[in-house]
Amino acid sequence: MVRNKDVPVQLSPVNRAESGDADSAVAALFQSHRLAMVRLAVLLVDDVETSEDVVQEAFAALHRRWPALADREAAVGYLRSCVLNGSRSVLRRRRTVRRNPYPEAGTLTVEAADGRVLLAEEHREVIAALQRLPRRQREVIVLRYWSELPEAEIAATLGISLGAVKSNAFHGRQAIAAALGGAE
Amino acid sequence: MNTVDDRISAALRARAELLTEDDLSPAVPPVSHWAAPSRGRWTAPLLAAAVVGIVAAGTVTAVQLSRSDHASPARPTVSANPTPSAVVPTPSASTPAPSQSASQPTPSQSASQPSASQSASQPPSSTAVPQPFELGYQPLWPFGSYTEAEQWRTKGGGSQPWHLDAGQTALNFTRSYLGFTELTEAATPRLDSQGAHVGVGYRNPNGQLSIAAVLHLVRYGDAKDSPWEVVGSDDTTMTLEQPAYGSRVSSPMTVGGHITGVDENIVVSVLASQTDRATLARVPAGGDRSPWTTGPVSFGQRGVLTIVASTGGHLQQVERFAIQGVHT
Repeated sequence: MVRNKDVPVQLSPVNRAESGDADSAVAALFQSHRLAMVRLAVLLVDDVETSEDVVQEAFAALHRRWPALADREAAVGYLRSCVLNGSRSVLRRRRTVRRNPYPEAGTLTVEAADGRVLLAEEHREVIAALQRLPRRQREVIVLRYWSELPEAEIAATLGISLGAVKSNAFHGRQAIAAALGGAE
Repeated sequence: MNTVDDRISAALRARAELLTEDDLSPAVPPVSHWAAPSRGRWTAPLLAAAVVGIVAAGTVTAVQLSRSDHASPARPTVSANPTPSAVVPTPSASTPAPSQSASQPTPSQSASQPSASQSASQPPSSTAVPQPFELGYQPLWPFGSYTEAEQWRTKGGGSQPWHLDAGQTALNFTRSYLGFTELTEAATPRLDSQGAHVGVGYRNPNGQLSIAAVLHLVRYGDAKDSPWEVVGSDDTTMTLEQPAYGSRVSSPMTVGGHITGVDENIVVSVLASQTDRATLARVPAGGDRSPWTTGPVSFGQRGVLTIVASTGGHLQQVERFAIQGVHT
C-alpha cells in the first residue's frame, strides 16, 4: 500500500504544451554548452562547485523560460545572462556572509582551493588582478577576453550601454596592467 | 605574449581550461514536471518517458551499490538484521493519508491514466513476485517497504507519477509529510552514485531561493521506473547526529547535533506516519558549529521513525531543518 496517495502534486509553472520541446532542446544545449558555462562561472566566482550550481540553475531558468523565448537562437545568450546573474548573486551572498556571521541556509561558500595553484605564475598574477576588479569590470573583461564577445553583445548580455562596456573594459584593463607592473 | 591583452586572454583561457568535462559532477538537464491530468492527460506518460529515459541515462544506477562515503553522518547498513520495514508494521499500513477518499478519487488516480511504466513496449508484470531488494538506508517516505514500492510500480496504474520525480517527491515529503507548508520550492536535483540530492526551501524577500534542507533520495528498487524514496538529509549548517542514522532507539532518547546560527530555537519532532507525530522538545541554540541537545525525551512512536529538527523565526517559521532515520 502506498502511503499518502493523495498528496497534492506541486506543478512548476512551465508551459506544458511545449514541455517536450523544451526538454529535448534544453537537453541538447546542456550537452553542448554546460562545460563552457561552468568555465564562465568559474572565472567569475572562482569555485567549481558553486559554478556548477549556478549553471544548473541557469539551465533550469532556460527550461522554464523556453516556451516564451521569442528567439530560440538566442538561447545561449539567455543562458549566459543567467550565469552572469547567478554568479553575481553568489558574490553578493559571499559579501553578506562575510559581514554577517549568521549564514543563510545552504548558501555558505567555500573559498576556492582548486586549480589556481596549477596555473603558471604569469597567469596567476592576471587572475589575482582580475579578482580585485569591481564586479562589472570583471564581467566585461571575462566576456571580452574569454568569451570573445563583441562589445554590442557584451552590452546586451549585461544589460548596459555600449559606452559602459567600453568604459568598464578600459578601466579593468588599466587596473590589470597596473597590477602587472604597467606591462604593455 | 607581450601585451596586456594577450596576457589577459591567455590567463583566462588557462584558468578556464583547467576545468575539463571529467571534472564536472554528474548532472542531468532539467525536465518538465508532471502535468496535471486536467490539463492534458497525454502529457503524463510522455513526460514520464522523458524523465525515466534521462534519469536512466544518468549516473544513478549504482545508488544502492556504493553508499559508504555519503556526506551525511555515517549510515550503517541494515543488512545485519532484518530491515526495520520487515520487522515492524509500516506506518502506512494502518494510517491512510488524510486526504484519501474512496468516493472521491483525485484526478491523478483516474484508472484511465496510464502509468509511466506502462508503455506499450514494456507492460509491467502484474504477477511478478518482488525479489528481495536491499535499500541500504532507512525507508522514510513515501513507501514503508520494498513491497509497497513494487506494488506502486507494477500496479499503480499511473497514479501519482510524481514518484518518478525526485524533486517532486522531496517537496511533497517536506510539505505533506513533515508539514512544512511554507517551503514551496525544490531546486534541481543533483544526481550522483548515492542517489538524488534535492534542496527544498523558500524564496526570501529578495526573491532568491533559500535552501532549508538538502534531502537525500534513492530509487526503491532496481528497475528504471522504481520510485524515489526519501532516506535522509545532507546536513551542513544544522546537523542532527544523535541518535545515529539507522540506529535502534527506545524511549527516552537524546537528540542532538550541531548548528551555526544566531538566536535559534530548534524544534525536535518525531514522526512514525503523517498522523502519528509528536513534538519532543524545543532547544535554544546558536553559535558557530555549536552542539545542541534535547536531553532525554520520551516518545511513544514505534517502527521506522523520522526525527526532525527545525529552526526558523527570522523570516518564517521553518528556515532550516534536518532529518534522521531510526527505528525502534
